[in-house]
Amino acid sequence: MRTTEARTFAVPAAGRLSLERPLSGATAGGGLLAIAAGLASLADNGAEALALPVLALMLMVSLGDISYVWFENRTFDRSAAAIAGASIAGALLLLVMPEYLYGREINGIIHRSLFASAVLIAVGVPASITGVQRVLGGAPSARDVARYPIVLLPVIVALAAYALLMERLVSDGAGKLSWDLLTTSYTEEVTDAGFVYEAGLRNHILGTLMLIGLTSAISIPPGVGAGIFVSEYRGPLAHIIRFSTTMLRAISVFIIGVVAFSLVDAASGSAPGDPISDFIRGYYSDANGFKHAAKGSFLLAAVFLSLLVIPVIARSTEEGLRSVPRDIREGSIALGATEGHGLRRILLPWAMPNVITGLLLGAAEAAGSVAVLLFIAGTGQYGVGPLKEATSLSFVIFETKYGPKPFQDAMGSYEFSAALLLLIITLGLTVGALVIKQRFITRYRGSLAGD
Amino acid sequence: MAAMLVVNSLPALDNPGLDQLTRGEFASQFSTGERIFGLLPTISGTVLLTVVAVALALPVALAMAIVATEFTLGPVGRVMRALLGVLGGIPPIVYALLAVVLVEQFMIPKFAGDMTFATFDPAKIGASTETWPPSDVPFNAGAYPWDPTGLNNSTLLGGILVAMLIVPFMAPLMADAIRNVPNSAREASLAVGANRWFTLRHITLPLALPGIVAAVALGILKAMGDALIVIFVIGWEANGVPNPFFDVLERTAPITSTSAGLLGGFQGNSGVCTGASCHVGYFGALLLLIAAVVIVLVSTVLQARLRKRTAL
Repeated sequence: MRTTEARTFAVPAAGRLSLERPLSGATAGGGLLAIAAGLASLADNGAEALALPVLALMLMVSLGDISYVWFENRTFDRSAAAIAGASIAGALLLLVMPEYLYGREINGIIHRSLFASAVLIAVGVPASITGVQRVLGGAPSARDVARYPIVLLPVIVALAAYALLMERLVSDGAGKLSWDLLTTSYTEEVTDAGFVYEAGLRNHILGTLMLIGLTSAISIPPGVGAGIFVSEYRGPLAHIIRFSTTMLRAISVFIIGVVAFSLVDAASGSAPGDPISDFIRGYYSDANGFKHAAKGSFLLAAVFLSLLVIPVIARSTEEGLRSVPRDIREGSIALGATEGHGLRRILLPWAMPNVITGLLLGAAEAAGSVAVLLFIAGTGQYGVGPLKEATSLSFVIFETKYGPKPFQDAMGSYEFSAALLLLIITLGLTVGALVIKQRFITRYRGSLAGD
Repeated sequence: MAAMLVVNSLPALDNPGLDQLTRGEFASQFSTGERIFGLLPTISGTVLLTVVAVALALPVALAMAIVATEFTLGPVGRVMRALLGVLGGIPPIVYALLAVVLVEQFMIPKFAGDMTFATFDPAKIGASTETWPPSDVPFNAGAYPWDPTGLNNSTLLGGILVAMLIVPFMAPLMADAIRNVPNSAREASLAVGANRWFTLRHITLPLALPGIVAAVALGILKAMGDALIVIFVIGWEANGVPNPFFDVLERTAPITSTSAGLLGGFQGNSGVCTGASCHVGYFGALLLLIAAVVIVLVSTVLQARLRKRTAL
C-alpha cells in the first residue's frame, strides 16, 4: 500500500469555480448507491433492474472526473478510469447474460441478480472509497472513513442473514406455543386402531434441565481442578492436562457421540436390570412391570456431555486465576497464608465469576448439543430420571425429521416451537454468562492491577 | 476414547478393506444396499464443506472482530461484542432446522434452474411461463442444488449454514487476538503519522496473526466436526466424487453424516448397528479424529513460526 498519494486535483486558481468537491461527492454518492443497489439485488431479484442505471451513472460520473482532471492539470485520473472500466465491463456482461447462466460442466446455474449484486458491490466499494477520500481532502481520517465499507459490508450482510433466520423462528415458533404443549408429556400407545399419541414437550423440557444439572454436577470438579492445575502449577502434569483440554476442545462433538454409542453397542449384550446395562442404556418398565433396556441413559449422556463442558470451565477458571492481581496474590503470601489457604480463600473466590461464566456457557452447550445425543437419546415417552432414556429439546427437533414415524406425526408441526424454547434456554444461559462477566470484569482497580 | 474408536474400526480394514475404502475401483462408490463403502466421495464432501464454510466465514468473522475491537465510534463496538456473544449461544440444530428459510429466500431465487420443473413457479422469479423450462438446457444436468423437503441440498447450502455457525465462534477468538496486540505497537504507528487503517492493516493484523490462525484452525475443526447441519441439509449417502471435484452445487455428504447414517443414528433406527457398515462408520469417526490431531499440530507449528517472525 502506498503511504502517500499525490493530489489528483489541482488547486484551482483564485476566483475560478472548483468542481472538485461536487465531482468527488458524486463519485462517493454513486459508489454508496451502487453498494446499496447490490445489497438490494442480493435480497430481492427485482432490484436487479437497478444495476444498469446505476452502472451508467457511475460511468458518467467517472468520465466527468477523468475529463475534469485532464483539463485542470493534464494528468490521467487512474482510479476514475478503473471505475469507469469496471462499470462498462459489468454492464456489458449483464447485458449479454441471460436470465440464467447455464453450465454443463458445473451443474450450477447462477441467477442474474446474484451476478448483478456482485458487479455492483465490486464497482461501488472502490468508488465510494475514492470519492469519500477526495471529499475529505487531505484529512488524516479520510482514509479511515473511506474504508469503512470494506469492514462494514460483510458484517451487515451476515447480520441480515441471521436476522432472516431468527425472524422465521420466532414467527413460526411462537404461534404454536401453548400452555398445554408445555405441560403435556409426549406419549404413544399401540392400540387396535394403530398408534395413539399425544403431543407435548414437558418431558423434553425437564430432560433438558436434567441434562444441564447432571452435566454441571459432573463437570465442575474436573473442570475447575484442571483450570487450577494449568494456571497455578508447572511441570509435566500441567502440560499433559493443558494438552488434553486443548484436544478435547479440538475434537468434534460428533466423535464424542460416536464413542458414547460404542459404549451402548458394547453393552447391548447384557440384560436389562444388570447395573452396567442400566447405567449405560437406561431402562423403562412397560405396563406389566417388565424392565426393558432403552437406547441410552441420561447419566451416560451427561457423562459424555461433560467432556464438552470440562474444557470450557477449565479455560474460564484459568482466565479467572490469571486475572487475580499480583498485589492480592502477594499480599496473601506475605501475610503467611499457605498455598492451599490462599487458593481456597483468595484465589478461588476471585475466580468465581469466571467459573460461573464458564459453567453457564457449558450448560448452554450441553442443552444445545445434539451430536452427543444423536445415537443414545430417545423420544422421551418414558419420563425423566438419571437412569431413564435420555432426551432433550434439541433432540426433539432432530427426531421430528428423523425419528420414529409416530413421533414425527405427533410432533412434526411443533419443531419451531421446540427450537424457540431451546433458543430461549440457551440464550438465557449465554446472556447470563455475559452479564456476569461484564459486571465483574472491572471490579478491582488496585495500584498494581492496571497493567 | 481413541482406543475405543480404533478397536471398533479395525474390522473395517479387514472386511471392506482399505483398498475398497480409499483406493481401487470401488473407492468412489458408496451404496449400503450393495455393501460398497468407498469413502473418497465423503472425504471430498468434508473437504468441500470445510473450504466453503471457512472461506465464507473468515472475512465475515474478521470484519466482525475488527468492528468489535477497533471501532471506538459510539456504542458500535460494544453492541457488536454483545451481539457476538448472543449469536454464539445459538445451537447448531437451530441452524439446521432453519435451513429451509435459506432454501426459500436464497437458494430457490438464486440457483433455481432446470431442476425445478415440477414444483417451481417461474413467475416467482420474473420468468414467463411460456418459455419455461428453457429448451436448450439438458434435462438431467445432475444433482439438485436445493430441495425444500429434506436431504437433497447442495454442499453450498450446508457450507453457508456451517459458516453461520462458526462465525460467532471464530469472531470472539479473533477479537481476543486483536485486543492482545500490545497498545504500544499501535501507538507507535499512530505517533509516526500512520492513519488507523494503515495501522490496522500493517501493524495490528500482522501482530494478531498467530491468534487469528488459531481461531481459523478451531473454526476448521468445528466445520469438519459438525454433524447436525449436514444431516439435515445434505444427507448422508455420498455416492461418487463430484465432477468437477470443486462442484459445490452437487450434493456431497461429508464424513460426519455418513458415519452417523452408517451407525444408525437416524432414520428411526433401533440404535444398534451390526456388521461392516458399523465398522466403516467407526472408521469414519477415526479419520475425523486423525484429521483433527493433524490440524491442531499444523496450527501449533504455524503459530509458533508466525510468532517468531512477528516477535516484538
